[in-house]
Amino acid sequence: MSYMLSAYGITVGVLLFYGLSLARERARRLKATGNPSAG
Amino acid sequence: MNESKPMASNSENSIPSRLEAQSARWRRPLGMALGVLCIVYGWAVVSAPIDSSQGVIQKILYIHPPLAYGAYLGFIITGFAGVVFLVRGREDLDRLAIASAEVGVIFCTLMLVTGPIWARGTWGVWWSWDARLTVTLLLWFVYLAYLLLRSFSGRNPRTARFAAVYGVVGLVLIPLNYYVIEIFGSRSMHPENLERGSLGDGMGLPFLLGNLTLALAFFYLVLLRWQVESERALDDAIDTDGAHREGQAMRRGQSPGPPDAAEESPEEMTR
Repeated sequence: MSYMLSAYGITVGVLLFYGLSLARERARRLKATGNPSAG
Repeated sequence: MNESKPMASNSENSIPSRLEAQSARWRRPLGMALGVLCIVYGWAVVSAPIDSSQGVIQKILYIHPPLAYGAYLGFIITGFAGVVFLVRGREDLDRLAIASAEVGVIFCTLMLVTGPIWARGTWGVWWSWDARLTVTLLLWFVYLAYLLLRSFSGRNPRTARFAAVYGVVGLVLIPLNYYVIEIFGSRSMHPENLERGSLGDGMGLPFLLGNLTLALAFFYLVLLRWQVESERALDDAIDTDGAHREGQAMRRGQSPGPPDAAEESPEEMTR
């Protein structure tokens, strides 16, 4: 059971972390440029 | 041709391009569909039957092959986008190639993590230098090298062309990776490729949902990463353009004039 949970946990965790990092970078760039069209 | 000048200077390749702007519109509906599908997928995995020989660890099946297909898809898109970039000079597709390679490498990494977890529970070892595993590791290294090349060389057109060729050549490993078990036959520890009807009763739906969910997650992340790459390219173009104008003004012995939003630092003057 722990192996299965590890596999799913790592996958979901990594994909979420990666997606949120990209979203945060976009938000930071949008804030810096004040470009509403890119949202 | 000035090799250090960013590729964004070509007027045919505006940032973001029309394709990039159109693709970005798909991200939000894709994200909503992904959210719904994640719930359904989670339910399907929990309620899937437990395999009589392997036990609950067999449920890694619903995530491990979909990650592999996502990795393949990422590298195939990188290769095709690279070809279009080479033939038509479409810089937006070069940015797509980078985005797709990065997401592909993440999927490939996760495949290389979930596989050994499954192997430890069924084979008793974390890793075996089995043909499938070795070629997968090679595939991962090839596209990791692609990402390193892109990240360390900046927006150099010559590097972009080299990377496009490299991305296409790397595709040779995908059919090899897929069919390597059939080539090696019984000498491979890794199970054979799934075929229609090869799954047990009640396992088809969670497997299908796993593929759909991971495919949606893949496309969502590629679109998001593509947007980020486009914004990075735009920022680089603004920075270089500002530094270029400052340099010209200094050469003429004039003041550089009012700074742009992104050109305050003294390093810009020395570029």
